[in-house]
Amino acid sequence: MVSNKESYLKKHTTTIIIVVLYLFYVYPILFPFSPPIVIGEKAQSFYDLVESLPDEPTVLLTYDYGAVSYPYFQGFQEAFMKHIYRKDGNVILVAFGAAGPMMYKMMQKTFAPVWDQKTYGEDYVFLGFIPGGETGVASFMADIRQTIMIDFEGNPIDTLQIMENVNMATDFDLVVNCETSTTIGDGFVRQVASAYGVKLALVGPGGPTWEPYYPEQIQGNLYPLPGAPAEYEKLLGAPGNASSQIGLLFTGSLFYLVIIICGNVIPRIGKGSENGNTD
Amino acid sequence: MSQVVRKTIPLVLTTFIGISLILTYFFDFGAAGVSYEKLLLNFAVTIGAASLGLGIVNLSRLHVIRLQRKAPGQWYYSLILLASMILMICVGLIYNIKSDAFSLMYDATVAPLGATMMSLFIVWIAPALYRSARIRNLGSALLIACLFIVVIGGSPLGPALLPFTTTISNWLNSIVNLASMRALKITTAIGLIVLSIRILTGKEKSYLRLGD
Amino acid sequence: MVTLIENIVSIVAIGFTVGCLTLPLGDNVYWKLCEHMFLGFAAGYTILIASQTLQANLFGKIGSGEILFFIPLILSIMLYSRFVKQASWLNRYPIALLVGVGTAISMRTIVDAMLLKQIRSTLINPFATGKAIVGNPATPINNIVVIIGVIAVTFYFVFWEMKWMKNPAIASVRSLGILVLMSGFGIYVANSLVMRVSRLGGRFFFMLAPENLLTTGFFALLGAISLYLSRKKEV
Repeated sequence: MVSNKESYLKKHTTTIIIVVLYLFYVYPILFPFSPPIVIGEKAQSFYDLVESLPDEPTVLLTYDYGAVSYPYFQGFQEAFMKHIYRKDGNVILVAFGAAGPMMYKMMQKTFAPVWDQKTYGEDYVFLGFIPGGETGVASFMADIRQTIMIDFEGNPIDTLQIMENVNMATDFDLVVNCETSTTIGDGFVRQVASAYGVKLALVGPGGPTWEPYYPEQIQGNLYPLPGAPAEYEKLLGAPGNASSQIGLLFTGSLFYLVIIICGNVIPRIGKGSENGNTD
Repeated sequence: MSQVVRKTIPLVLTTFIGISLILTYFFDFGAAGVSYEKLLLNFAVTIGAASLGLGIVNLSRLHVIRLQRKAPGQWYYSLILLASMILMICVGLIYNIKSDAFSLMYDATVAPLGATMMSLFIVWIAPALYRSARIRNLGSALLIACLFIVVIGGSPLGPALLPFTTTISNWLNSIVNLASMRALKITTAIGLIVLSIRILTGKEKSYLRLGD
Repeated sequence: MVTLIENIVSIVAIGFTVGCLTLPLGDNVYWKLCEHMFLGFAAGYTILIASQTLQANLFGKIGSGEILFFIPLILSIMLYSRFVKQASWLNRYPIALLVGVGTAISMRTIVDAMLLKQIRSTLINPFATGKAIVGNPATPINNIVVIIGVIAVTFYFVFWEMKWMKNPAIASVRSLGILVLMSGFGIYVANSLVMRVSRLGGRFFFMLAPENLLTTGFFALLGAISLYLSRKKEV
């Protein structure tokens, strides 16, 4: 016969799990700790890829993510731009996701210490949002000026010094796509790497699905997030947002392992369980 | 005539545009071919921008109807939805989307709401994992074993607790995952090619709401 | 120095964050308000970004004399004919263009990127030195594992009809394919888990920042009251 305590636990399993989850998330924030960051192969190869670029490179960096992914992409993008500025390069920013312009506005505040030393239109520019997904990417890579006439701030493209010799995909030394979906990454491989043979790096949760393209079609595949961006920040000596979340990543990941172990052990221990299928 | 204009011409248009764009990629038609391709891509991007409003119009229609009918238990939520939408549009029109004021509005509303809603997935996955991630056979045992090793190796747990899992995790990501994903890419590509041929030959008509 | 407006923005953002986090603990009024406000604000933002894009790239081009851009203007208007029953067939023309363009641009590179290059990368001499699929370390063992894995999983998808299951050779290769797939799925879910942990973490960092604790506490209390009232209503 099942006791009242056991039936209460069974009835409120979901609530108990969620409350424990919230506690696992709260702990590293109230009692911060920093587990060691070990440089992985993906972060190292991405670092080497940027180092191998010629001096004064022109790179394209995309905003294909929204507010939910901002914390770890922001840290990576700022570290990447610092890396490019070390080589006296230029960064052209564009959004293929609708939330991109707002992510750029957020970055204007957090990256102000660096961008205040740079000139908009010469060292960096934000070209705005281009809709259409893969079609937008294809159109942009074929002819930038035909796709967009003015940048996000309203300046005609032709008046921007940074865009002087840039009008299509082959004018970029490297294209880096930061996205939260898994579909547009394949679109970038098709419309950038396959169509034009330009160096391409993908950053996002779709990393495992892009593994077949690496390293022949894409030269950088930075995952898992946010560990790999944190490792990249460490390589550059520029710890940022991604690095600050490592403690929480420790407890959060631990929680899910504990949950899976409990899910396999507790039902088997429980009375009247049969092949671990009770709930 | 009516059937030709309503059904046949759109199908022919899809086929013509699709095949012409494929031909311009593989054959050199000179400057005319390049201009034609860029123009069509531009048209598609522009129509793509216009299509962003389709869902919004549908959403608004649904909630205006609920408001008009005073659907019990729902109409006040519909009122809040429409009021929020109008407020956002007004702020955007008054201050311009590039302004700091609009950015603050976005930071206060869409950003935290969207971010939290998207992150709720990881909350739901916890009870789902508790109930479903159970070892029943060799396949599920392998799945859970790989999940364990990659979570430990791919997170700070590995370097802190079990350093050897980082190497195994890298191997799993680079080799085992590569094998399964590569096969998926190949078979997906075959499927996509077949679907594309069906669309370009007019056999697939569902996207025009025509049925086979 | 944080201004008053930034303080208000923080308070509102925390209110919305806490409201959304009450959903897993039960459906309640606070969550419903947040849900509908999100839909409204997001819809408003989408309209603004779409109109700004059209203004810059469509009306700007028409304004600078490119007459051909009247075509996408007319097609864009036809897109909305789906809401008028008698004229909904007009909607097929812009969709025909979108589907035609999308199909063509993906198809013309899929064969190379997703098929030929992948097959070429797989069917290599696994023992050839200096040639590795990828791997850490790059050894013939890795190459053999990948070649066998790719072939097994492809078998699983290609030989799916019942008549093939009776062939013991195909059935065993398919079984190996399932095991490779399950492993790959576990790896994908693991990477996805690790990534999503930090998504929720970002929200907790924001709510539990020292300057936001009081506000979070206040909204958490509101959330608790809302949950209690909704459970009381259910009972």
